[in-house]
Amino acid sequence: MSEPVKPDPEADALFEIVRQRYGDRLTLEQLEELRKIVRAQVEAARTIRPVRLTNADEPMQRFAPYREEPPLTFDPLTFDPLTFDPLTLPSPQRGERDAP
Amino acid sequence: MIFTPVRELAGLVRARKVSPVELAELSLDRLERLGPKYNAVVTVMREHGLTQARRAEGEIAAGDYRGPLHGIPYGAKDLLATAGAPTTWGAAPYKDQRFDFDATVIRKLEEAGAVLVAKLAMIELAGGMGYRQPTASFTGPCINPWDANAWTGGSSSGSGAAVAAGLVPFAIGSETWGSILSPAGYCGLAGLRPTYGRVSRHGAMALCWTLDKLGPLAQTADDCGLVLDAMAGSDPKDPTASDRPYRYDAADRKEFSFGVITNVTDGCEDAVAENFARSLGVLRKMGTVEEVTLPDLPYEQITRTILQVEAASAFEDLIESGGIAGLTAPEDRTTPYARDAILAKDYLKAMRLRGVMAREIDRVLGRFDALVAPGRINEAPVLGQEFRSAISATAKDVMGAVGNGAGLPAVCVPNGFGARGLPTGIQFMGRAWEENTILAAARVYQSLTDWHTRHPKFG
Repeated sequence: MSEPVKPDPEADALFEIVRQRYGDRLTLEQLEELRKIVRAQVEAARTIRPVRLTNADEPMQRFAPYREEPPLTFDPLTFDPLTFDPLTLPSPQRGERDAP
Repeated sequence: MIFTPVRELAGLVRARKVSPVELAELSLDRLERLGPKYNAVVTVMREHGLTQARRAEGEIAAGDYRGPLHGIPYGAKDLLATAGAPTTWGAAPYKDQRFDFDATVIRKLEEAGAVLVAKLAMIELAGGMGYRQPTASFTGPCINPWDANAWTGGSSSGSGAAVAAGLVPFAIGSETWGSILSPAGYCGLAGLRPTYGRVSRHGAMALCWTLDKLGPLAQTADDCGLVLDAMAGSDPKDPTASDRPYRYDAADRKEFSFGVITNVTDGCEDAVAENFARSLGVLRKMGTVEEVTLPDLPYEQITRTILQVEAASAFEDLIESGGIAGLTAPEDRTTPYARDAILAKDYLKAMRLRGVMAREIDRVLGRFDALVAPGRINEAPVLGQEFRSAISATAKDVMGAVGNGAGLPAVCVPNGFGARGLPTGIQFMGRAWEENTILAAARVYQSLTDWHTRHPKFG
């Protein structure tokens, strides 16, 4: 017999989102497994939330405004590393065409 | 020629004592004959490889020698786009996927004269859906050349198996959290995770935009440096690829300072801890070894939260459409649904804490050439069983969380064998952009030990 799981209102409420969105494609067993995973995620969040940050601690993710500047294709003959702005280019995984 | 390091092969090729076509034939024969035995290969690229090898042979004969990778065969993890073969991402829903261009890394290696002979097996979607077992690939579990009942590690599983079994002299893998160091450690290889941004990700499957790195697996740390030299550099097609110049520096270095995180072997198997303790004895001959305590931060939770959210977003279409039902591992078919329940605020908190983590670890690392730790906590897991992992929060991996969360380079090299006769490893992790420093340390370590000269007999 497994130990009864203690109620966790926050985790249960978040799990309810998962159940609402995907419950129709999951078995009861799978849903119970997902409930445990959501609880673990909430536990992880609870270790992150109390760490104090200052107002100046920004997410470590660079953002820059986008403006398309033709030509977007790389031409080694005209490429100038001094004036090149990489943020005007498409995402690295996108190639000449998207994956199917 | 089998198990001969790239540097030695390069000398033979340059002196025209060995022909690139011979080398390609040897690799292709082994890939076709032994690849299926290890579930290591998705596509053998015989025609493509022989064409590149003949071209290399002609160029070298004409005196146009490009460098140490010229005429050397290699395999690429099957998440790198290649125009001449399917790119399956290790996952059944993408098994017929084709791209009409080459990933930047493939192109750069071609420019260095390397010969692509195979697309190598991998854990489906690079393990980002929460897999807990070696079978999580549509090509089956990768079998460790050291033991037919053991896994290679993942997610660059085929890259580990193929190099360890002597099918190719080197291979390209990727790491979001552990996917290069794990197969390197479990298969007794050198595996290098470069600094985030050192290598262009253009044409590589995106799992987590802010965590994904591409790097080599080879017989020695020195070989990893030779390969990184060809892979590294800025790329107009990847804004995150750094324009910091990189040239591999293989010059000898004598004095090093190493840090060891307090209690870093907690949770390790006994043999792993013993081998690491013996390795520290070797490192003391190379310089100083000092215990260090990291600031108290939830490192694993920070990196895990970022990984889970970014992977769920990168594969939003596959998840929301129910397409994940076509994945191989049962847990990969359902686990991603739970990530809808991670709050945006918690993800952003993790991203803000990541900055704190990066600054704190840089402050610690500033005192050392490298932090050292066991490569893995255990020997390679047994096939057919669930394994413990930091990503699923069933194992500790502070070094992996910090290293990947802060985008730091690390190299893993073999340092002994465990109770089941499988390799164990030691990792050297450095400050951002210090690949040459950690490679120098690993190279000296390998010059003082002979673990990297031992190879599996199986196969």
